[in-house]
Amino acid sequence: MNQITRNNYEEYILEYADNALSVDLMQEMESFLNLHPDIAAEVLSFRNIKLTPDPATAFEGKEDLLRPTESKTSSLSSSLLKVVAVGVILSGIGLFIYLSETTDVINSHSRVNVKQSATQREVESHRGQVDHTTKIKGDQLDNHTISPQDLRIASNTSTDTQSETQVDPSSHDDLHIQTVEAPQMTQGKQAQQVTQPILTGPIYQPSAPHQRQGVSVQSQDEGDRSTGPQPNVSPQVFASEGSSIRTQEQQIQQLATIESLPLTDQLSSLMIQSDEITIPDLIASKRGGSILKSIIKSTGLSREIIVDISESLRPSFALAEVQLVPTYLKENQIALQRK
Amino acid sequence: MLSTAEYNTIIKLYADNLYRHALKVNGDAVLAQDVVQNVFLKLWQMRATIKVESVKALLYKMTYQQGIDLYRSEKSRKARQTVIPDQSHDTASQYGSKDLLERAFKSLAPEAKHLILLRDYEGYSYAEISDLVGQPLSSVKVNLYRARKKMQHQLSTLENEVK
Repeated sequence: MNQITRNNYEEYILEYADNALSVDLMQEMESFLNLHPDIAAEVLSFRNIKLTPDPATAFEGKEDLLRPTESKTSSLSSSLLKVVAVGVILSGIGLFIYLSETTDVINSHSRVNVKQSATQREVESHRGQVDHTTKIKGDQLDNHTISPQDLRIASNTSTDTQSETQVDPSSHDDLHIQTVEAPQMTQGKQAQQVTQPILTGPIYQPSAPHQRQGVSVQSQDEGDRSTGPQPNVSPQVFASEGSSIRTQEQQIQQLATIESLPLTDQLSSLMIQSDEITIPDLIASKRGGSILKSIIKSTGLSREIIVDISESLRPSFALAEVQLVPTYLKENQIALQRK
Repeated sequence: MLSTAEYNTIIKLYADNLYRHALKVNGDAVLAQDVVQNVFLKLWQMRATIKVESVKALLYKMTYQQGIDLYRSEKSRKARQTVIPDQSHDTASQYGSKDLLERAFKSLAPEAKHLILLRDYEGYSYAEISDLVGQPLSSVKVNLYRARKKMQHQLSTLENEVK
């Protein structure tokens, strides 16, 4: 323990005045002060000297120093917005997966329609520039009006398909398309010949492969994967027979209860009851006006075009395909306009 | 890391105290306002590296440094000007004991004022003051004792003048 002297007493004297010294130091300080009464007098004199703040003295520019912050409401909104955004993204992913699965099946049936549209677009973009060297083989398809007008196109845009569409410039009135044997077959399939036509004309081939009216339908993709010969089924069967499952009057009655729903929900509700529906049936109904408005709003197409497409092609849709109605109409718009 | 909300809360909590502290040390309201504004401006600029729990000590440390710097520059400026004698002593009789204490306090050097204010206004321990001002603990105790001793001497002088 340090000895308290005149040289170091200043280190201890404040704590002595505050009664903050240890017992040993307190005793030593008292002994020291007894020996030095002048210092003891100092301690007594400043023991009561203590400054106290004046609360009335305030900084006037305090508000100017504050920084703008997000309010609780906006902070809550921000958090809520994040949650909603995550929900929307997840919903989008789910919808994308659902649509992908549905579209894959439909595309396998309607690949020809897509190829036809691509071919037509290519014809338009390359009009006057394409070499006229391709010839057309195969059966003539009804209602196809792509008129290449002396153009010949080798449709090789889809490299994954195992067939090739060729257009004969000699035909100026109708489009003739034939499925030719694929140049390369997968291993083990050399002996297989794809006999299903890949261009089916104006008929929309609906739905996933399933049994309808006793006819087994198999997609081209499935045909590629299978080993046996595939049935050659005209999709016209679906369009004509699918819409006959329920009468138009029954569908009209159902429309009365689903009129206010969006297009998809309207059609879905009908599908639940009728299994299959055609757009012309919907448009022709008493409630067809509102449905047509929904279709126009969804597709951006004019009323005339939608009616023309629906009447001339008479597409039928099953429940799982309802959301493809706008896409179908848009894809067939060019074909109809050229017709 | 200080958030904006925390920064604003700190202003509301400490701005008045810092202003009183700066005003006591510098004795000039305008200078004290400048000190406080500069301190909080620096705090905002440093907010990314500051912890909330160490803010108060940092504020007083910056206030002390700002006050010392401004005091010295102001003292230098005033030294070049004509000195006007303080006439307040002529009316010393109107002061009470608290006023005399305030006048005794004003006679101290800014460093000594700062130490006394940290102890009396803010209630910091000697060890905490030692950390704040960057001086050894023994030096803080000695300097504080000498500041109080000088204050007491000045107070006795003022009381004798009043009598």
